[in-house]
Amino acid sequence: MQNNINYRSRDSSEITYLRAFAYRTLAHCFIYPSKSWISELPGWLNTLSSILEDFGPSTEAVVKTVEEIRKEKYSLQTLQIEYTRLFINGAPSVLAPPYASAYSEERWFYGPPAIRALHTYQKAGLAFSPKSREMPDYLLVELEFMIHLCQNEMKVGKSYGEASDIREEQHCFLTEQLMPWVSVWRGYVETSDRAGFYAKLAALINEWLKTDAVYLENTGERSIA
Amino acid sequence: MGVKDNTLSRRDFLKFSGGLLASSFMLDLDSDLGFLVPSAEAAAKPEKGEKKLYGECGICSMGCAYIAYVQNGRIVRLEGNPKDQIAEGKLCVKGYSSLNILYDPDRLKYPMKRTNPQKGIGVDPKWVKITWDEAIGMVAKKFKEVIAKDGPQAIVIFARGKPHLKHFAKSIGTPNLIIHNSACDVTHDIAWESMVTGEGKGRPFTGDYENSRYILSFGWDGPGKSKNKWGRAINNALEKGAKLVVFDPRLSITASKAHEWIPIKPGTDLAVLLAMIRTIINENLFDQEFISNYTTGFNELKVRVQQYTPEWAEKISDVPAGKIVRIAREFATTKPAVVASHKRDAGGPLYSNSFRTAQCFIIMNTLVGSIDRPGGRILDRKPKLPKEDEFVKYPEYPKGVKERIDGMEKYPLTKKGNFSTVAQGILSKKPYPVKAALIWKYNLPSFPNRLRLEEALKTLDFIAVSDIYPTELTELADVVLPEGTFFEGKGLKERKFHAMYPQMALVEGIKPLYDTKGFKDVLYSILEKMGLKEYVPDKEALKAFSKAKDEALGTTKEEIRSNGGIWTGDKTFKPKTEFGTPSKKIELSPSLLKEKGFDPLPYWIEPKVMPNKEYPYRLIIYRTPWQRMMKTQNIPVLMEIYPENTVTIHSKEAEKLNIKEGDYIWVESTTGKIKVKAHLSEGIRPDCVAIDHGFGHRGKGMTVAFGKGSNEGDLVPDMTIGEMLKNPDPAANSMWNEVVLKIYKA
Repeated sequence: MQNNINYRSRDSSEITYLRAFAYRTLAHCFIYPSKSWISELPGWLNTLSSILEDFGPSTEAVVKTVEEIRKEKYSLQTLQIEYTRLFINGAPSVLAPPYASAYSEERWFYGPPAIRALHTYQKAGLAFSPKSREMPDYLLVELEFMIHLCQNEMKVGKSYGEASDIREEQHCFLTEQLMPWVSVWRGYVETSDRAGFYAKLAALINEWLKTDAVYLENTGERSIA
Repeated sequence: MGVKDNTLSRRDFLKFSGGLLASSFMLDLDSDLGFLVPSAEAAAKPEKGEKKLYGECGICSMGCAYIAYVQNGRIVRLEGNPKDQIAEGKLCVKGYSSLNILYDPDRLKYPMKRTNPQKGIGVDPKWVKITWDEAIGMVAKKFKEVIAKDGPQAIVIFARGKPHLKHFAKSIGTPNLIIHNSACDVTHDIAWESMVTGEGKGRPFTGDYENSRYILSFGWDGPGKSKNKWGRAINNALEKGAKLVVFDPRLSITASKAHEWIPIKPGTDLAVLLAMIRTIINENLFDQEFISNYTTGFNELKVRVQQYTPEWAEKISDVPAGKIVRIAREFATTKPAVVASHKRDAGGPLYSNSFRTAQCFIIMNTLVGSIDRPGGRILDRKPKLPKEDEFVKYPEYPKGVKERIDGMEKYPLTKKGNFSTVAQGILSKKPYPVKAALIWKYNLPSFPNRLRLEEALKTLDFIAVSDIYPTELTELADVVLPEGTFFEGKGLKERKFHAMYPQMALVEGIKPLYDTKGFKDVLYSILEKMGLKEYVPDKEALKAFSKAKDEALGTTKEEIRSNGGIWTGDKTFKPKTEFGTPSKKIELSPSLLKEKGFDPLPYWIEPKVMPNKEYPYRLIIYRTPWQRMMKTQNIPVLMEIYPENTVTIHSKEAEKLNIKEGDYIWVESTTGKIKVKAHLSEGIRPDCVAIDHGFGHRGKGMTVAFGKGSNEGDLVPDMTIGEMLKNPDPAANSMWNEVVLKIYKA
């Protein structure tokens, strides 16, 4: 994929913030729908759209998907039913569990992908919050980790070597942990979602991950050069 | 402007981003993320090696203590706790593989409510996730409405008889706590209570089979169910030279290890036992010292059994009289000897004479002095601890109606519930209409004639179900209350299933996954929400109880933690010289039965149904070592070992019917028919067919279990209360499994 993100015209810290914000917004779009969530959704999507537009032509497809979601009107109950059915417990059964392990060789939870994710978090100096009952390879945990890495990058600012290392870390987690299973998961969501929202959201997340990976790859190359 | 009000535009962002780039608050992770937190410890010391957690297996009621090894927050393997007298360092195949349950994607994860008013198996309930507050609120509101309009008796609770469940039912005022005992252990409970342990005390679970020299089984198949301790005990006893004799229409796993397998006619074990008792008494082979010191009613018994000659028993049971006499003599003269028993026994099903059969097991053991003596049946040794009700006090329970929807109040000795009559009770709306149900970890295949119960439950306004899995019954629920697995619980559990001496196993549990809750807490929350706070245990009283218990344990929490329990009690076996009956002796002609108007002594009762021309085969129900009903059906490795149940048919009968190994055949009773894979064997009587229990799930939510095999309960008739009352049985035995069948190619 061509990397056309306008990083040259933007300060790298700004871009990192934008990227963090994109991850944050996508994560928010994926939380269980509530009254306040659905009323805030257009605003979040608007923000996401603005951020993505700022990235230039490479995000056109993603922006288009965001716009498609924005145009649709979804009832809260429909989204709650679909969320529950696709991601928690459904009839006949949970269709697209948002956990990496579900797409590994054994479909059982807390498999090798979860352990790999946990090790990565530990290496980054993170532990699970005592209040959390989730597993390390849950989609939202992995998105949160990407936000954390972006934040780290922002913290080191323009310290060239450190920022580059953190970007490498991001690229690694993205391509080795998140992307492999999200691309499969997206397929399950697309074929099973009856409301259309989650199929589009899964596609959006998948597209964003790919776009961001290319960005990180290219900025990495640039820094090496 | 910002993330919270999500109106951040590109311009906004560019405007302030320069100054706040390094700040994280704008990303506001805490509101709905916040799974990860900084930890200096994690960075410095990434988790390495294994951590030990102690626990108690929850697959079967044997409850083997285990050690779980945790790596990276995940339990990676289990082993039996070597200090536990039940596990002795080992688990069974189900126990080892039970870890799959914890990480099963199909588990119920969050409370949910139904949004589709249509109900039925296979109908999408259109669940939506809700909070616990909302779930508890819905149950409480509905129960209050039902109580106000139809009375508390209109609420039925299907659950095991744990003290907190009994308390909950009494607190809301319903007599309808329906426990599964009618299909399980009721005959043994009442036999032991009336003869040995005392009213309400239940039966012991312990047998010192390992030290027996002569073991008799009438359908008992502990090793065949892979009951961990019992399997080893029988093997060890055999190695030490014990003789094992098994009466069973089917060549069970226990029978396959036996010196003699006697394929008795189903439902006639009682006849053989009565004749054996007569032989032992008439030939003065009984333990005279034990009988004179520790029993009452011997002479009455002696008179009663005179009519039951071995020749009479032979005609009924197909067991030659000479064999009955020989085995009776061997049993009485080889010390120690024991009749091993647990619950249904007698070839697997319950029969109309199962209570009297259970009574004879105790008589046989008493005659040879094997009640609470080495090598015999042992009264469980439990730790002496304070009881919760000594500290937690409640006001008087509301006085509701006494009549139960299953009619069990009509039986003086057992009020635990009847799975056979409850569906017709609900459908008849007599003696009153039922409007709501709360169901804890029972599934439709647990019941005879599940289609009738399904029909009955669909007439209710409201159903709440608490479970670990989305069972087929969950599909009928209005509210789902997800429960954690036994890996996520905590506590100190007394050894019950084999308690030669008091021990307690520590249950630590890993951090629970998802948003599940223990059912006890759920019940107290419902009471509180219903405005019945006076029936919720007072926290201070609970603290005092906990403190008293800790003191009584005589050890410290640190010691318990380092040992994984309390294993250091006095292991010297002191035989009991007094028992729980009014006379403090083993009552061979129990006063409790007399007092309640029942014949105190065993007598011959014909089985309720007999094979006939149209239905020539009897149904034998058993369990395989690889499955324990719903609990293990979604475990892939177990389903790989044994993917579906079969109907075992004698090879010669199969040949007559042109049935070959692996053919799918119809098995039909007057209640229903099921299609099952045929398995041909010489190891079954020609007039019987045997089907293993636990298969045939229709709930698609259990993706591994769904559609595998068939449920033999669909062949078993339910009944009306009137039909039940025709059986004057102290245990209100509902003849759960007494079925005759025909079979034919599908």
